[in-house]
Amino acid sequence: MQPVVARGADIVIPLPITAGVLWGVFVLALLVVGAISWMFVHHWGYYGVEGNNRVFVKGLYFTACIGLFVLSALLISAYALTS
Amino acid sequence: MSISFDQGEVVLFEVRKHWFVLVAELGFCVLGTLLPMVLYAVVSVLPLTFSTPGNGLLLFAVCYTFWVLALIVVMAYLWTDYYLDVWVVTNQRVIDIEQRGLFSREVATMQLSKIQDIATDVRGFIATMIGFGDVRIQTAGNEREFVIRGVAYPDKVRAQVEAALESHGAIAIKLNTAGQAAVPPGEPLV
Repeated sequence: MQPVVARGADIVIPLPITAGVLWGVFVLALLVVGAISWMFVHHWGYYGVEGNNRVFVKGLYFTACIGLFVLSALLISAYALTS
Repeated sequence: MSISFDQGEVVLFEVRKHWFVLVAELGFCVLGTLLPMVLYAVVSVLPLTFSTPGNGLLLFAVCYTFWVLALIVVMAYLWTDYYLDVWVVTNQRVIDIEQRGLFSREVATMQLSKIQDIATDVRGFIATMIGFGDVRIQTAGNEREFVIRGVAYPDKVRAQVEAALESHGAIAIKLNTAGQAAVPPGEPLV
């Protein structure tokens, strides 16, 4: 990161985060969350989380995760357009 | 299911931590979703300007989405740890399954006939009002003590284990609730 630069009354802090960097973080998050989710599903199945609980938790968890990934992809795309 | 049961062994009930224990842990995560908003509000009143290649508000929104995603994963982890940390009481034994995270799981069993002490411990205002506490089971020998913390209605759990003992042939049991005198073996159970 660039050093803090004073300009006028405000201190300007450069954040050189491009859309490419965000896409990189997105892919990394996808891999990490994917791996952890696989472990969750294995635990819930193998150690006997019962039917209804499993369906509810799985549904809630994957809906939230997929929703947030879709939202972040849209936001990154919008950010790329403003760059 | 990773537990194998003997022939004729029947699961009587399962004991888990009180829902309040889970909700209290999840509550921190829910509060955590507000943290970036608070930071944003604090930074916006400071004489700072962030220079970004694109729209700064969109960059904040992307970071916030990743933050919430991380909290969702943490919440799923907490629920998994809560759900898989359980006592399974059968007509022959108590199985103590202690889940520590995703990669550590300890399973220990105690035969009902070997149980000597069942102690309950409810501490604090919230625990007393909501009804959760610790339950400990001990044997006469040097075997490990079974402890489940933050269990819902510990006295009911003690009574259920006690009923399992009575109906499945255990005779010498001494109950010892924290703060009460122990009941000698052979005495009627409270």
